[in-house]
Amino acid sequence: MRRYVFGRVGQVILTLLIYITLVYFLLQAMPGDITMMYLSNPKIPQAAREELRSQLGLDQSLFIQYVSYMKNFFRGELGVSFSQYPKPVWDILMEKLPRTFVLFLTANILSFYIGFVLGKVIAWRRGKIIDHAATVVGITFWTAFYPLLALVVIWIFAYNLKWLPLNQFIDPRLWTAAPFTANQVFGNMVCGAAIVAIGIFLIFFYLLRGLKPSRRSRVYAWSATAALIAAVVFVAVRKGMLIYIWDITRHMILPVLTLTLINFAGTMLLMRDSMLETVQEDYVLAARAKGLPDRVVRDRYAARTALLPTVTSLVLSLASSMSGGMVTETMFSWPGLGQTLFTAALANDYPLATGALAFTGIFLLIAHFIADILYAVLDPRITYTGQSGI
Amino acid sequence: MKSWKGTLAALIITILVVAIAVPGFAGSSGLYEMSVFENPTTLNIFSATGPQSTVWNDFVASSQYYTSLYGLAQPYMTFVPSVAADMPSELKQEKIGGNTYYTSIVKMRKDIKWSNNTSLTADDVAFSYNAVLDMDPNKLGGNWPSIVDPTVLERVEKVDNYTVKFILKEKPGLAQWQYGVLQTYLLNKAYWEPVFAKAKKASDPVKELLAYEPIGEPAAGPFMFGKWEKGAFFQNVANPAYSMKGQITTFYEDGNVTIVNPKTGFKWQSSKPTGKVLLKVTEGPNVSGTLYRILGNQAAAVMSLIGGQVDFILNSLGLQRGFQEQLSQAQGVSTIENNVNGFRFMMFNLRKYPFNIKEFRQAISILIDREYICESVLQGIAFPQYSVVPPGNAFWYNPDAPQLGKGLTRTQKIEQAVKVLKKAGFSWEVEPEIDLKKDKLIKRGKGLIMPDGKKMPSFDFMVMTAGYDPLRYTFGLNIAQWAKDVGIPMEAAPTDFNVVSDKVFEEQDFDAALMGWSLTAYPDHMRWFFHSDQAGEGGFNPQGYTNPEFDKLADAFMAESDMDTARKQAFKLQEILSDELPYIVLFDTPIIEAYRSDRIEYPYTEILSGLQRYGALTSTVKLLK
Repeated sequence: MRRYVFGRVGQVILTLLIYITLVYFLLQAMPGDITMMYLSNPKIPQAAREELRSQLGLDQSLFIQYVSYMKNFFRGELGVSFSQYPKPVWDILMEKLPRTFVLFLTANILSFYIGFVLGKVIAWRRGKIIDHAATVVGITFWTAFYPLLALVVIWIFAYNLKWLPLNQFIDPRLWTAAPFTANQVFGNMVCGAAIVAIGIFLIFFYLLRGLKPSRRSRVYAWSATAALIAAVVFVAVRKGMLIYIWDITRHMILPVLTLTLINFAGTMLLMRDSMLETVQEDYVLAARAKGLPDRVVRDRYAARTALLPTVTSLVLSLASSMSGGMVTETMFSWPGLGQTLFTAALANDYPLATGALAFTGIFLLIAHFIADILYAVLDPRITYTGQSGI
Repeated sequence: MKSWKGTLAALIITILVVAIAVPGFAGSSGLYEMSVFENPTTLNIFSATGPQSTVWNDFVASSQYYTSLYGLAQPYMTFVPSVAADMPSELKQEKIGGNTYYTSIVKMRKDIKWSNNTSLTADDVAFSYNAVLDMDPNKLGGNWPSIVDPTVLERVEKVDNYTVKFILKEKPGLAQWQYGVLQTYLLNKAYWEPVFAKAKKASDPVKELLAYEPIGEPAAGPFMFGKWEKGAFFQNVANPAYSMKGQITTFYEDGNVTIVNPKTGFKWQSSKPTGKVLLKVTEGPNVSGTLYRILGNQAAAVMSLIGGQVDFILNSLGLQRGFQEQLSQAQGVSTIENNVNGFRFMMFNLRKYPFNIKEFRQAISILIDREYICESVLQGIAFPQYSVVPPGNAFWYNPDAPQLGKGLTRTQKIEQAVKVLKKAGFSWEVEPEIDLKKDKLIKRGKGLIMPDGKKMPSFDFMVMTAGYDPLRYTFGLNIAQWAKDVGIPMEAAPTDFNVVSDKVFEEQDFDAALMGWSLTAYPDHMRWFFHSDQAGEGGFNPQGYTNPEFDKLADAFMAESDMDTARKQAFKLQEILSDELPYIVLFDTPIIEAYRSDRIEYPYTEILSGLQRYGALTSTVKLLK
């Protein structure tokens, strides 16, 4: 296993090197450069354009630029943005990351959860109305034209019904007097959500184990959950942050809803197929023969094994939360990494575009690596040592 | 397992219900709210005028915080003093330190204060220019070399606390002087001097200066920085010490302007006004602040405007035509349509044969039915244009410059184009045939023979892709079709904007292209676009037009400091260009804007390039409720 892990780390580094090189040269292959923006004003002399080329290093050969970029890259420096000269690329990415991460992570987890539960249920009830209905609804949204769906959702819930905010990730009218920046609040939201999630998992893992947990255990579990949530809310209130967290949460509902509607079907269908194979296994039959309740057989025997293929999809989608999505960010006025990448590419801002792509690439490669390792951990039949599993 | 999933589901449902039940936050009183489509990127004036000179930075920051010695009084764009007390003295030659310079004295107002209540003095003015010169405007980049032109300006000296002396290397024309150097933003010396001193000590002073984040910088404009939540909004607050608040600018029918500040007693007039008062504009700000919401797309902005979240959609390109009808039906919303200062045009590479033949270009211009495309194909969303100075720029526009082919029918155009081509020595293997009475093309021309006896090969006409600009694309396809009707083998080639720019400006390797320009009020673009010294690589005359007569007149125009003489020269330049056609000007589109007329009121809405051109009139807008 150790040998495998080292080998995979080597592969990840090599892939990253090739990926960055490809990204770098592909972006450089675009016609023109950032200094072309000076062509919109004839009063700007050629000398100013040459100065800018020199400041940005564009007067050097492409190879020297590449070598210099790679040297800096592996020292953790992504250079300075051309379009926001001399702001470091890293600062720009870090500025956008929290809001991108919170939105897309929430949407990915939610769509995975809905897809997983529905997939499990419809596979168990194959051929019933719920199977057909969920499949048709899921496929419909999955194949919908995303910008149009986003517009329809905004039009119904924000514009007509006025239930939810129209756009953006915060309400400026509230935030003009805020003592926090949005990124501070996003950071606290991530920490709070992580604490709640881990806490709830541990509570239920320890208190509700076994096939038939006692009534007392249930009461303890629910009370502990309520206490945990109350504690997190109390901390937010004490910090004066609750109203701002609440504002961001309200603004998240429509983009998360749209992303979930579009994405849940992928996991659902994957889970359904996987479950259909698993339910035919002998150990599932044996569990049924033992007289275990249907729900227990489905959730604890079939679904746990069927979950494996969806793990890869989950891990990769969690990593892609870092890259955001240009369409979502544009439609919901939620400027994040996706939009940054798009505008940087349009503006010939090579360091920013390369930095944004490299950033996403690194997370995806790491996610891939983790998925491989997780496979071995989750499924004892899989081994990377060349010996047969247990 | 089931229980924690239930908990998650219950949490989500609770959040949804509460989110819907709890209303949004009430509007902030006294704020003028606008939507913008991109993030501003910097508060640093050196960056915002330099490498990060975007309209968004100018909209929300630069144009709101700074003032200059002179400015253009809106909406008539009259050159008037701002921080200056009167017009600059006549330029005179003077020997200083063994060199001959041109000098001019500017007397300043004594009633102008910074937001920290200190006076704006000659020290600030001299510093504003000298510091930029010291740092090298070319290195600062962006617009700096065009406004603090180091080829013109030597330095600025303080004469007394409220008088400065400009020392110039050469005699500047209107474009460099009144419309350039004199309209530079003024900086607070006490704030910026230490920043400059620190930057000068750094290994890369320009980078150090551009990276500086100005916090608490005093403002002399109507607004000061309030708050900036990156990616969400940008807020300015009214400058409580703004000296020009309450100042009344009156425009008269005879073109004269008077400025009166009842609070400070400042008075100025261009000359004795006579006749009717056209407009009186009272300077504010009349709002407690401005709020710019950063929205991702026009649909979001339109919904926000109708929903009352914003009062104005601020965009340098205005609104798409499709939204106009929707907005005109919305309650409490008004739309505005204004001419723009720009044009879209086609050009040939005049280095190539036969594009260098004037009659060939004239024939193409005659063949183009601008009115037909604008009115019938594009349903009035564009307007035809013939001159490199748009009619909206009324003072400089020459209405008598030739407009080839205007008003002719389809077949009359073909007849005239054939005549012009024949005059230049062109002939055909198969000459086009027309029926003038029925206005019908009977036979298309084929095999155009050039004056040198060779058959004209087919050539590419680069037009923007439909996705980038459907209007230019439509024009391009129609032009190529009309050219083919008379046997000119033109092939419209939809091409990406960056590729067109590269091929035209960098490589100068093209046959014909369709492009566009936005312009400034002073029409010095005629010099930059058509002077032969701009025909080299990287210049602004990539079509390679050379005409010594034009060059001479353009140089004289640039050097001219008298407005009336400059106007006559500009008219003559337009006449030459309309005949020689190094650009075949085609059309432009009006700018459409929308605002909440039930909540705000502007002193005027008719203005060249729309309200956006002047930052949505933040300092004169009034809130109705």
